[in-house]
Amino acid sequence: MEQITITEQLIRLGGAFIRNLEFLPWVLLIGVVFGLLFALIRFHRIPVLNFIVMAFVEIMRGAPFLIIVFAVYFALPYMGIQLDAIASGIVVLSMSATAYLSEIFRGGLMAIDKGQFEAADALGLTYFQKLRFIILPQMIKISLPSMIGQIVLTIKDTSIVSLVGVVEIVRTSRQIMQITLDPFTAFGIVSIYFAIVCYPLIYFSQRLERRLQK
Amino acid sequence: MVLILIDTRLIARVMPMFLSGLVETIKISVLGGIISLIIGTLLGILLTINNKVVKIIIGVYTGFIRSTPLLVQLYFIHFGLPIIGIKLQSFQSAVIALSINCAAYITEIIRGGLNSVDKGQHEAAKALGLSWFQTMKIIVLPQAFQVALPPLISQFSYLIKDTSLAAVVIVPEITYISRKVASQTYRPMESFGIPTLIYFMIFVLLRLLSNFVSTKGQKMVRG
Amino acid sequence: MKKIIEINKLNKWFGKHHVLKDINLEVCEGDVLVLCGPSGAGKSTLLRCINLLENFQEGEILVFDKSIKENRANLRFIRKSTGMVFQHFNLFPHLTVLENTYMAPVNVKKVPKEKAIELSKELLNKVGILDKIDAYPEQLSGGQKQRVAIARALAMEPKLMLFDEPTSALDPEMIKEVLEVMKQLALSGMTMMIVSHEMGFAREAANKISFIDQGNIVEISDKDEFFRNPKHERTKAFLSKIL
Repeated sequence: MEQITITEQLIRLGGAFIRNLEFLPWVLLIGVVFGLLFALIRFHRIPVLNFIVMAFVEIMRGAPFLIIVFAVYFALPYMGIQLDAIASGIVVLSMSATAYLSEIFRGGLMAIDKGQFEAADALGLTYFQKLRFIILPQMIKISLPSMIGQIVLTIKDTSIVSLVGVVEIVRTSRQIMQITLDPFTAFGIVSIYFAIVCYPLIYFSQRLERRLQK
Repeated sequence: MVLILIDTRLIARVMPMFLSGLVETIKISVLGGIISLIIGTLLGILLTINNKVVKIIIGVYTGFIRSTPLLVQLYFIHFGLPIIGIKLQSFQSAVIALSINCAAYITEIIRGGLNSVDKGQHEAAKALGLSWFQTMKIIVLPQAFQVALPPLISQFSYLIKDTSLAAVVIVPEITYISRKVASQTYRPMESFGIPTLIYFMIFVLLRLLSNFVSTKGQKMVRG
Repeated sequence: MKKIIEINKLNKWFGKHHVLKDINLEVCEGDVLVLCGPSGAGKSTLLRCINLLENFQEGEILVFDKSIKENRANLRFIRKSTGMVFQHFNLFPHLTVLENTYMAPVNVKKVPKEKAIELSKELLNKVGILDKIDAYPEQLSGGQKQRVAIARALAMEPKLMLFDEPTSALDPEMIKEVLEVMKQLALSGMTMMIVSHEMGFAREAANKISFIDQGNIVEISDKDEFFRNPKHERTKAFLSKIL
């Protein structure tokens, strides 16, 4: 049993955690943009596309995240697409985030009073104006707590890409543990890093939800 | 793109493996579900007592579980328990980790259900002379559960999805089997397509159940 | 005359707000006392102190000669012998009308189930709702719900009945059927304390009326005195607005 000091663990794991957080900007950007697009497609019931989006969302939501990660990482090479671990990670995390966010946004859209759309039309606004000034602001307000919840889930899901080889905090902690034989310190530090980021988000989302209910 | 064709003879060959994986998945899910339901309900009821210490302790527990990945929690249990002297099989540590995780969410759901019961009900029960225990058992809990049932069912489907992580500690459930089949047959479509379909069917069933329950329940909770 | 309720120097604050100020009140056996007054005056709060659904900081409340805050045994005794009817009915939605009525006698007084069912059916018949005993509350109208609520309270065979604005949540056409039941109850000799705006009912069924304003009992007198010779200015103003 070798000793890796707590300080050193903190530093190594902290650096590895940045790998997890690096997924976020891309994943969330794609997730929000495509999630919104898909939500609008489903909300307006555009033929054909509606069905494709629905199938996509159902599959992504219906299968465990891990099996989708395996499927993408192991199956894609057979179809001629070579993706390394990190790329597969981005692909799967983005697809999952898109699917869940599209449902959240769709719920938000449906919660907006129909009269809003009618008033916007009556005023002569174009579709994009209607969307930009009337619909989206209201949808975002309604969806915000759930959106934040989804962000937290995505952050936690980055831990799963460790299982296809991405060197992020969880994989690093396992490596450390194999040397120190002390799972409590290693995983304890991992938990603290995640908690520092996720707990405030959860707390904030709950407070938002309560404020919005008034 | 030859591999997109599905080989039905292969499917027949690997189905038994997947079915045994399904059995494992069901075992973990049911066991985990029952344990976490019991723990979560007890904690949810405890939260109705206006004790600050109790609320803080339970709050720390649920906050921690919700802020950290299940994978890390699983590693904690799987690698940590042997060190403090508790030797467990992989199946058991998977069930424990899943139960502790799921119970945190169930606590919140039950709390919501209990809060949804109108305060006037408590007052009527008090005015009639019922004890706290009687009030909970006869009046509050039945109504709370009816409200909590749809979110509980959806939490159960999250639990089933989470059982896939047991593959990480070598429990032969569906996801683990899918990797085994993939590495043996080199046929990704079937290896991952079949289990995805199996999971999908489970969730469709659960969603139907949830819809049925919530329409029946809505009739009861008025008046 | 036996004293059922005795309130001495009752004071209650909600935070800084002094909602009940030095209340002194007596209700004797067979009295039907109506508490009236503007909204927010403290009438409901006062009523709810009597079976300790609201707590109070100063003073004493004696019901059936027992001090309500002295110990748990007293409180249990008082609640067993006191029935309460709420503005929003508070029926148990997952139980049928019959089950709502017999569940308290069975669970609190340990009455055998068949006896409790028999008694409940009698009471439900008296309030005119026997045909609905297997219905659930959500299938009933407001007036029907409140009559069930009265039967539920009466099933405990109380010696005192408290009514907290029993008709305020009802549509006008249903108020009469509930007041009828309450009138019958008064005639049968039940001791009742009622918070209500229904002055017509007070005229017919009450024997004492009290006007409460801003946490004070401004005036309390026998019914005839109250309507013919109100003593205080505020009482006169109140009466002139509603009659």
